[in-house]
Amino acid sequence: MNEGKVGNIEMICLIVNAIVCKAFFTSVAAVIQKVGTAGWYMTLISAAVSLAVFGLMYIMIRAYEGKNILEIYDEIVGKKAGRLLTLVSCMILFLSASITLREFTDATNVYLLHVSPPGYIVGMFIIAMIVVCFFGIEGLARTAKFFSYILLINFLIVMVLSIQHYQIYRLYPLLGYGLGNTVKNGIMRSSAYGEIILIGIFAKALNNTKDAGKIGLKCLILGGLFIAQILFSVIASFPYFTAAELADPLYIMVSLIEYGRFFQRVEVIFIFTWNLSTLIGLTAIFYGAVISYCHAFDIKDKRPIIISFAISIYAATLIIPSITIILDYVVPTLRDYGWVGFYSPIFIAIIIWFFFKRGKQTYAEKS
Amino acid sequence: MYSEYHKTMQRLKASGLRLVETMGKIPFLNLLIYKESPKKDKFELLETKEDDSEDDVINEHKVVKEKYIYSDIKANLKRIREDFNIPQNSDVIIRELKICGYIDAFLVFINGLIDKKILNEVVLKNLMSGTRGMDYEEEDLVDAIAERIINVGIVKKHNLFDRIEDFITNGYCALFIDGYEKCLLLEMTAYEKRNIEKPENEKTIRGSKESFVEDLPTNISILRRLFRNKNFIVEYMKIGAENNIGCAIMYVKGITNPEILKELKKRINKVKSEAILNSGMLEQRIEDNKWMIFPQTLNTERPDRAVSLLMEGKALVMVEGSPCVNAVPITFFDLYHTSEDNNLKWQYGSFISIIRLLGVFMAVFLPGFYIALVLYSQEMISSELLASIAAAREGVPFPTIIELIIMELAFELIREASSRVPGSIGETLGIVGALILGQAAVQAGLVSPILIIVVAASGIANFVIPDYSLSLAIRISRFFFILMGYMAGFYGISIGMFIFFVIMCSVKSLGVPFLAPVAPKLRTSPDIILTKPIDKMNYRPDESNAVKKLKKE
Repeated sequence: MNEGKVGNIEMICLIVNAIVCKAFFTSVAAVIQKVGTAGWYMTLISAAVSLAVFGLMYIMIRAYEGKNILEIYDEIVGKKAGRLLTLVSCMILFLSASITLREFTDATNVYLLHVSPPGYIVGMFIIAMIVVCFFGIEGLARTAKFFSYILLINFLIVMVLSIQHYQIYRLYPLLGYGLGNTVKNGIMRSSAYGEIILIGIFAKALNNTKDAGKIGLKCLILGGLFIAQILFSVIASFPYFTAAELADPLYIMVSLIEYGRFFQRVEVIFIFTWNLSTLIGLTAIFYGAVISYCHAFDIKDKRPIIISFAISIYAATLIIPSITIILDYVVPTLRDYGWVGFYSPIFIAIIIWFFFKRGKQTYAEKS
Repeated sequence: MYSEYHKTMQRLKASGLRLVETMGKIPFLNLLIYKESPKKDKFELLETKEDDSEDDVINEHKVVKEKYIYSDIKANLKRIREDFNIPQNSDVIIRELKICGYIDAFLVFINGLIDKKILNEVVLKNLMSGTRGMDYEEEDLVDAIAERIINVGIVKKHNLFDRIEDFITNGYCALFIDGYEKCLLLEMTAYEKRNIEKPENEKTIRGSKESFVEDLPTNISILRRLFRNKNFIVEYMKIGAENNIGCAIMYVKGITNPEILKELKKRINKVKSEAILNSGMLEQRIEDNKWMIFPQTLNTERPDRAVSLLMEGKALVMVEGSPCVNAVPITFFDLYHTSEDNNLKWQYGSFISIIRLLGVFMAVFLPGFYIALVLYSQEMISSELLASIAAAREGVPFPTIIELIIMELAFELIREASSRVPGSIGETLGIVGALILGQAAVQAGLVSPILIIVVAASGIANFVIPDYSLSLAIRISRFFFILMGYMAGFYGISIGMFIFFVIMCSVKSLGVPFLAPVAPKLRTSPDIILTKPIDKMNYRPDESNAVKKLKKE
């Protein structure tokens, strides 16, 4: 399998897609339910928390130059404990991919393929993921960059055309359900940006692992701005109590666009943005999970793992019987407690490194 | 008890191994079996400093037992007769003669490959009468004949049978003289060949009107005439284990990256095929990935295009008998442009380029979009258009997908048929097929008029793609998108686009990414899609990694 090398902008496009694709689905409504009209800046608090955690990860990447975060775990806590931390990362990426895929499937089922069974939609998606993963990270990252410009233009078109529905008064009260509630939820929901750990996993594909810092910073800034803009436009377009009830408020917002007879059917533009961004983002997450798993068990040939992981994701995506359970239990749990899976390996590794390894490393460097 | 358990476990292990072996033989199940990743001989074009190779490619290409010629002319004659299967091989001529009046000698040549006038009036006449009175004991007779007697342009000396026989098959005339262990090879090549004609497949309005022919020296002379530069290097190689056909690698020393040349020569040397009959066969054997649908070399029949590719730092490969040249490494944008783009003012060039881009998109996606709209997303069509589509489809007995596939296949049939029949009949066939059959099919209620428009528009759009191989790749991809659109509407098409572009991003031509300089982004002159004034295009394409990046000194 071709691992290849990935440029900095390509990596940024890949990670931003992995972060932002969730905002096309139920997360927007869930945020508005939690914090009301303060949702658009609450996400910036989440981004700031993720940035802090990413900073910790970057300290380790700098300390162990030329290694990815999974190898760094092994270096810091030993192979066996490192395997455990790697498997935690693998597990959370796997869950994130399967839950977001289920959200996507239900949204596609509702708005696009009304009579197709969910298994069919998931199956096609999974096949695309398998094919792309066989080509490796290089092709995926280049495609992410190639599409990102087009997706960005589509996104801007949709946002600009939606201006006709914006009512600034809908942003009030600015503090939503209270500043304390907003900050608390902002910290809890930092898992919305948890895919930033993919930079650590893909670090060796970069031309220089030291570039990971600026890439992560840019990814979080861009991801935060995009998600904030989506939340802002939805909150400004609908009364918050309505937006909190919509399963896919962004799609509804787009379908309301109407500029004369011919510009009232722009959903098609949004469908491509939505589909392609999700395909890129989820494939990156899936590939990250495969790499983590293969690293944990020293598996060099990833191809059989890709297929078996894909089958597992297929099963995990469809195992939840209805969209109500996803909306009420699964997605809120992942978003509120996902940070444990995304960030706890980093916390454990950085603490051990700081107290037990840093001194030795500095001594070794000096001598 | 323990030994029984042990035996059972061994049996189970053996049967498990057999099962894994069996699975490994089945192509799809093969993917599920764990195996160490194979070490591939992969080439990546990296930044390097100039390191010109001075390898003698002819020598390293073919390592066979070589035997020296004998001083006894009878032994040489016998050997030549054996090697060329004389007398079965009736066009290999051996002409025995005496030089200096009494020294035995013979000439060997292939009838039809040499100029008989030169043979009769120059070579034979001078050898038989011009050598009388020469003092062969005081000087080396072979050298004396080469210097003073035979007045032909190129005279070579060799003492290896294999090499001499190679020259004879290439149109040289070999002169063996009794008592000497050297043979003279006289270049008298002359054979019938096609005249230089207009390009058939790459037509332009303002560009040059000459194209390559099947004769390698003629083609090289055309390039030499258009590119008068002492750094323009032509290296000859032999390819094809049996047919030993000539092949030339051409590049500009000081511009083309030496790593490209090394890799190219390595790949050509690796070709073990019995016979290479044309450039297409060689192209398939030197490309990076044989499973990719997109072309990995650029094939052109236009000398002016070939020269512009040379100046961009690409290497050219030309095969004897092919009226075209292959350029490597290439990108999608090399295939996308025509030689005319730089002939026109930048405004016109940009306009045509945008039209061509629109054509590429229509050729790939239009039928797929149509089927996705009609089958899955009717709400996105305005009411009037939807009504007219519904009215047009009224009475058509086939489902839309069958209707579309039939029409696409019919279009492909007409296109293929018209390209295989003689010129004037081909044009007539195209008109008859497209107009009369289409009109008749609509009137018979077999297909809807809107579908005819969609198929025709995508077909016409396909003609704007200048490269034949890329055009074929797009024609095949169109069917893929029709299938994806049929299976899942716009969702299917977006999945298809994702896979399609990942494949495009993964293709490489001699280590250069196919979508460079866009993905990955590289520094280049601004002529990817839109062009700028010609004096602003100062850089050679970065992806070729030319030794000199700046065009102007």
